[in-house]
Amino acid sequence: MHTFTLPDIGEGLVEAEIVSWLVAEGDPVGLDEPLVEVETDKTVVVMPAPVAGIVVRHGAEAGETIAVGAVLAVIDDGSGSSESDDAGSAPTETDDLRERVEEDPPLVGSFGSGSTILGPRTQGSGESGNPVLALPLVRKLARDQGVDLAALTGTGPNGRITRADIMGAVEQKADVAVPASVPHQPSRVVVASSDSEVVPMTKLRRTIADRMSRSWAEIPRVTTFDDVDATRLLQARKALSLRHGQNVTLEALVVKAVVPVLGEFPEFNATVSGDEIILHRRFHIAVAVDTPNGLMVPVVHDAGELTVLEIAGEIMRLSAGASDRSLAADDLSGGTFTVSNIGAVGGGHGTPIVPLGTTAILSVGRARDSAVVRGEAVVVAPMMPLSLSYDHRVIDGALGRKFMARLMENLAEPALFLV
Amino acid sequence: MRNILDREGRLVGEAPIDIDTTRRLYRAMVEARAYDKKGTTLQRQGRLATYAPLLGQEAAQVGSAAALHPNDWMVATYRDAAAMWMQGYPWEVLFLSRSGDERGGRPPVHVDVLPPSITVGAHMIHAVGIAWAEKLQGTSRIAITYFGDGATSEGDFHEAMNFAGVFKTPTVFLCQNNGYAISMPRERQTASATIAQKADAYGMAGEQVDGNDLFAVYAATKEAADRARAGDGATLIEAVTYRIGPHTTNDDPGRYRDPEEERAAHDRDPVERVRRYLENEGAWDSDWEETVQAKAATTIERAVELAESLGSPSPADIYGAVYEEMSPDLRRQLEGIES
Repeated sequence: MHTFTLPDIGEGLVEAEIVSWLVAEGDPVGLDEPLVEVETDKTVVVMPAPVAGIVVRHGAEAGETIAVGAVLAVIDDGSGSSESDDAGSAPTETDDLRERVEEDPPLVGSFGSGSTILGPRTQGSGESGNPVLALPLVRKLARDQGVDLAALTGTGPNGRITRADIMGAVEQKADVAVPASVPHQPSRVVVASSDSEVVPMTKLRRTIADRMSRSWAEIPRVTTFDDVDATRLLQARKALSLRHGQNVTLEALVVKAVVPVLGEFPEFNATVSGDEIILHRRFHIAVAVDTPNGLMVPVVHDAGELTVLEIAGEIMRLSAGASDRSLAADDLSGGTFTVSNIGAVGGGHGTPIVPLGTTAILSVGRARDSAVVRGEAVVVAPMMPLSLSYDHRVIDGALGRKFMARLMENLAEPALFLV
Repeated sequence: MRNILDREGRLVGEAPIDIDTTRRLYRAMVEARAYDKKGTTLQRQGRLATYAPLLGQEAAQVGSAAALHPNDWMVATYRDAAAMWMQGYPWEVLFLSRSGDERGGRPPVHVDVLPPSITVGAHMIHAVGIAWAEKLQGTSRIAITYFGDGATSEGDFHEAMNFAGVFKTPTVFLCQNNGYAISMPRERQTASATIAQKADAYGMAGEQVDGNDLFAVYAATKEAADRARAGDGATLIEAVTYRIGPHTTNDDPGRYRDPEEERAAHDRDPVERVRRYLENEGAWDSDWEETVQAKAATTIERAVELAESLGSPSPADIYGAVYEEMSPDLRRQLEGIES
């Protein structure tokens, strides 16, 4: 019996879809004859049978997707064993062919004397009989944790020892505590106990985590803070909502206010690419949306072309779509500047992380009535916290302040941008 | 374009080799095709890494290699198994090289064929250096290097050609223009009318030949090799052929070329052309064909058995393949995987 597992027929393939079976269960198949059509992310390929025999079982039906290493087909090649070696031991067409050739063909280029191919292996290489399979990274982890690889049974492909196997061994070894601190470990390994719960990250969470980490590592960002008197902004919002019978959110007004400032300071509407700064001529404003699954950042495209009412409508559509996950890929990509309205959840100042591929992000807090000195008098005014983070590689501090000052002018007097 | 055997297998020039030799080279082409088919099959079965088929280029490789002396050097690429085998590189070692096994880079010691270059174009300068060394030592050995149309756009091509031209090194540059550099068609590869004409700029001989014509390739290579041996310098041969298969087993040519073009290429099949010639000459019949096919299949199956009988290489093997003396850094890495 020969078990044909799905090989990595691409370069780093992880799975493939069965398109159609070319040999039914119970039917015979010859050596190297077409057995099944599978589709990878690149192309459709025909997989040939590695042995001749009867196809006992299909590993999956047409339309199903199977992982590399999973059983593709089981072929009874007459070898009897439950899992035979590859072609060679089984009777094959080769044997028939061989009889038809008069003399046994000489080997092409023998491995005999004068050949280096069977020479001694690189000195010091492991026992060939039962080598321990583990990546160098895992081996290092084992050394650091004092785990003997030879004593472990790997749970990875072909019995490969994985990082999880090492940590499992560590847990068994030290039921009191893990070694206090392991220098240069990329991440602290905490072993779960009955006092804690292990929750795997969702795909969205992994994406968020990955992007945050990369931004944190790549972009040296600074944040500048200020507060703007939002009296007239809030009045404008109320007036617009009443006149048009539509909820014009503060966020929409902020987006509308920021676009002309981005036009004036294009470094804030840019992408750093190697040694170049790409200044974008169009303004695609990403807006942070809190959803039950996590943060999503859909994009108001060409916000410079839209009225404040249109921006408000678009943000409403994007927020709803983000929550029920109905947004198209286009809605979620291409942002050139980000507005994060943490005021919606009661936030004040913050230190937002600059999204990858952009150079700046503005966080808007909730306006709160505050005591403000105006001339000789102390008056009460709704002050709105602003936090602007930007990529300090391409934006100097003075420019950051200029941007903030112009933005505050706009927000303090909506007539300046509602034109 | 030099042409001796037309598509129907009729002579339109003088045959450079006799019937017996032609039969021998026909068998070689059939065997090369059997190897090639097996290569793709083994890859689909997960027994080889990415495989680059040579289907359709048998005459360009077998015809050129047949014109060499047994001790001439060869510096070729991942798609040149047939040429390498002709010069003594065993099929089983070629299979090993395609399975990512370092032992695939070590042919028997008497074979002066370098391991196949994977990096496009990087190897042509090696052939020039080797040829120059032979010239300095006063031997009559030459070096041939195989590359594709895509490699002619690499900077290394210029360096190799220029050096070979100036120093009159005994080098044969054999370009198999198979129409595509992965998906890039020949007409977008260079604005030159032919690749062969590039030889003019480097002050060396250059010729375009029908790469699917065994006789034309053989004759052109023989002349180039003779010229090199006589001290008259290098030659650039452009063998115009066609890559019938995909770039590699990880490529789908349906995305960038017309299937009709592939069907038309079968009319130019280099193996069938020689078969027709032999048949016309009364030197072919179906019994012999069966024997040739059977022997080719058996030989290739044995090569697979041999290659697979060696078992998996040790991970430590990759450290011994590059340097005569291991660097301290590699030594540390090696100790890392052994502990």
